[in-house]
Amino acid sequence: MIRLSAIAVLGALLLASPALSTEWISCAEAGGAASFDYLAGDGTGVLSIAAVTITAGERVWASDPANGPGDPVLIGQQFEDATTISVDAMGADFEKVAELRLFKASEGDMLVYAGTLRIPGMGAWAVACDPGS
Amino acid sequence: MRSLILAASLLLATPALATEWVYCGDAADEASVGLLLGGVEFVNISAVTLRAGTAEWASAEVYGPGAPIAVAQTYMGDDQLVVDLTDDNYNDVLAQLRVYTSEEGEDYVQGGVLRVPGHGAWVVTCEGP
Repeated sequence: MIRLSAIAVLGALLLASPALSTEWISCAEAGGAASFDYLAGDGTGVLSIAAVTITAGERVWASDPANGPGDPVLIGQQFEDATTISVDAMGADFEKVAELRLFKASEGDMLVYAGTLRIPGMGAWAVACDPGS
Repeated sequence: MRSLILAASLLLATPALATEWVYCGDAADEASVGLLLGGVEFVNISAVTLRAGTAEWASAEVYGPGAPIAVAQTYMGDDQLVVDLTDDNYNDVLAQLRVYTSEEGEDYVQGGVLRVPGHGAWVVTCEGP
């Protein structure tokens, strides 16, 4: 009986836990010259990135081959609050591969994310994001 | 005579305090903000214009049509341009401009968001100074 109660409590706790869903945030320059897509976890209250794919010209970086071919890349520092998002992507030797800096704004039913993407040695672009795709 | 020459050379050596407009707008030209920047490092805003749909504001008639508008607070640094615009009594926020700047090689870009309460929020890019 005690064992059944324990299982019931455990089950209730699991059901009560917030869902940890994920969604891709896709950021790109208007002409498609560069992009930065990241898979963000939702429900933890902080930015938690599970995967990232970056393109610039013919170059592609991907943290997970399951998301497509590309040079290896690691997720560096990541931060999100009510008005900003900052993400750095790092190479295998911890050199900076990309720097994404975004502001967020909402008004009525409009929600926009936009800012800049810098890829050292390649260029810098103004980017806009699809906040949740 | 010597003092006149010294005074003249000092005047000539003084850096020019130029002004230049920065314009930020969305791709569909639905909203835009113009900032007249001046000062030695272009960090002082001496005039402003704002447009959102058919609504227009200007800090003085000479800069364009529209209701009065004022610069409430501004911050330029750390690769950011942050500006809040209000009515000329500083009672109501009319617009919030939040822009990141980034440089790499010959690239210099400014991208961010413009929120105009009651009108909307837009992705904007900026040009100048």
